[in-house]
Amino acid sequence: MEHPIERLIFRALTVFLIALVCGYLYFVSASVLNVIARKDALAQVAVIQGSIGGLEQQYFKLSQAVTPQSGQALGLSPVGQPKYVYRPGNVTSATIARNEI
Amino acid sequence: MRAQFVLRTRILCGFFVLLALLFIVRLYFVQIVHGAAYQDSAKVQYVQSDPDTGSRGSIYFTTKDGELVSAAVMQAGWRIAIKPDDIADAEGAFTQLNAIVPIDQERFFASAGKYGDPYEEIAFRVPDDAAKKIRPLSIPGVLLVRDQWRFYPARELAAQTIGFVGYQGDKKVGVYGLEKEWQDTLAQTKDGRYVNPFAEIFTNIQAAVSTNPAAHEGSIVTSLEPSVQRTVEETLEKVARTYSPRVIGGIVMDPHTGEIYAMALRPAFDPNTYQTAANAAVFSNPLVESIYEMGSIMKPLTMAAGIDKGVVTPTTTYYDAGCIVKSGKEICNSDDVAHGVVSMQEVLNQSLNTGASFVVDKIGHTVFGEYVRSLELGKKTGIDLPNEASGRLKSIENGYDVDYASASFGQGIAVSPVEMIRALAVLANDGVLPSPHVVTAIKYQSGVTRAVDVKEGPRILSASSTEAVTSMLVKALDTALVGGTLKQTHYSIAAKTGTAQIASPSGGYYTDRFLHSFFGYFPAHDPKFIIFLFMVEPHTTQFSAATLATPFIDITKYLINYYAIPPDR
Repeated sequence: MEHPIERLIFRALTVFLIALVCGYLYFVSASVLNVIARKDALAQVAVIQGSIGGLEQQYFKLSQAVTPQSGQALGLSPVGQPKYVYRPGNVTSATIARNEI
Repeated sequence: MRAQFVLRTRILCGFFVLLALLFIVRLYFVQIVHGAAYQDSAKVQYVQSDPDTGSRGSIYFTTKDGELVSAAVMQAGWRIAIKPDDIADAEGAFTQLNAIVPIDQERFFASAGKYGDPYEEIAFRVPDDAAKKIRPLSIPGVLLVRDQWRFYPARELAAQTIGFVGYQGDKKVGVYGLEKEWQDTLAQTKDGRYVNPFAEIFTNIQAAVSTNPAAHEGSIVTSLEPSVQRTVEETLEKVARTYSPRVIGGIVMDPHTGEIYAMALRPAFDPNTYQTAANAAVFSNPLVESIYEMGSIMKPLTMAAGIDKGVVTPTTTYYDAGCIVKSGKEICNSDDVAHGVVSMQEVLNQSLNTGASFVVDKIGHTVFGEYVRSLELGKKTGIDLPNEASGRLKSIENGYDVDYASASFGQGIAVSPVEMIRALAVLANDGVLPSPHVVTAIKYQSGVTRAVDVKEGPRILSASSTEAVTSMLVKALDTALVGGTLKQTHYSIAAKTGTAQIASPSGGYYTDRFLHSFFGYFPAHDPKFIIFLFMVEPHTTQFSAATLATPFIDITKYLINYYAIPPDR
């Protein structure tokens, strides 16, 4: 005699097995595609990397060249001298002899 | 029916048991018998090391706005190689190649003549645009091979701190500076093309949650600020041109966190062309790797110990006879003048050696020795740079009065500049010892950045003692140092000069060789920066007030403007 849920379990396991096989196929193919895409990406990274060093070197050269004198020729104007406001603390602001407030 | 069900169950059970046994036997062979071989095979699939090009993570400066600027990067390009047997027209091939990239003529023709040799490299570090021009020429026997190399875009900037990569045997490794100290983090053992993506996911997760971020491959982020570094280097360069010292160096540090913003030295070198440096000694970092007798910048620490112990106050007076005799030896003030009855404030104002010795006598030798050791002056700071030297305090272990007196004003004991700035930072950090460091974070390839943990140092002095010494140093700068000309009306700056005689290897001290040192912090009562400068064997002048005071104030003014530090008085 067949157990009442035997058929149900069998079906469930079959579906699970199919899902596993599909998943396996998907992940294996994804890995292969990943390797191909990674190879392309690394080739591009190598090209970009080749330019990073040069650009950074240029940055250092240019930033070193900017002085208060040369800055004006580049269209830069000097930042105004910052003005700081002096706000005395509570202790020193109390000028009355006794605390009558 | 029941019997049939039982039979079917037993058959199924038997089948599963058999299957399990088969798995167990198979696993035994896979894991135990052939385990090591499979492991090696797996390693080859997961990771393939790059034998010669040695890919590495980057090193970054951090600007004051938090932006990263490359200090060391991998530069990618090409090598040109030839197969001598396939070169039909060597002269023609050379002319075509040399028109695009400079080729060493002698090397080319020597290589081209090696018949039977399958592979000869004739040019390195060829940029991508040049390779693009060579490829369409399709010169027979000429190959383009991927190449990458370490590049330092900032050239001389912080060269000794960044270090460089060189050959150790047949391997390319970091041989100086951060490149050496952080070799394990920077060196990339993986070649991206052969990484198992699933294994990579787990590696990334592991790096993101690891308790030791430095244990995983990545790039390193430093606290070095490129503009501050450049300013300090330019300032030191000017001083070096004037006084021609053997070595001149400086450190700018946050006294609270121990983060180093600048670590500069002259003479310097370009790590891209380190092979051309005339003297290999220029590669080392004396700020970390050498020890010196620092002179009078020790006096504020002696004074702080006296105040902390309660034996002196800024107004305590003593009689200065100009010279004192300790253990049968005479110790005098640098000006050889007797100043009569003077206060502790005057001891710092006029840098009186007899006054510093007076404080040590009041504290007692044992207690003074304990203070010096608690400031960890004889101990490595643990800074993340290689070959750190530890100070030498042997003289105060001998127990002679003269040695304690000398130590009170920074002679007889030798410490590294980084040890000295750490000890002096106690005055700026409310009595707590900071941990100097350069690397602040590790940046992984996955994009995750993790901060490097820095241990909090112990409390050495009470906050009230350091506050008292800070006020004394501010007064010294405002009124006495270079005649009070360094005073900044709206900024309180605590500072002190030091001039030390240099010990002779044959005993005693040279009479004509000096070490100049200078330190200061500001805004004095809530410091953002501590600056330490030193110079070994400057020519033409004897005292550091004349050589390093102006550079110090120039750097200070720059930092005030650059970081927009508001006035504190």
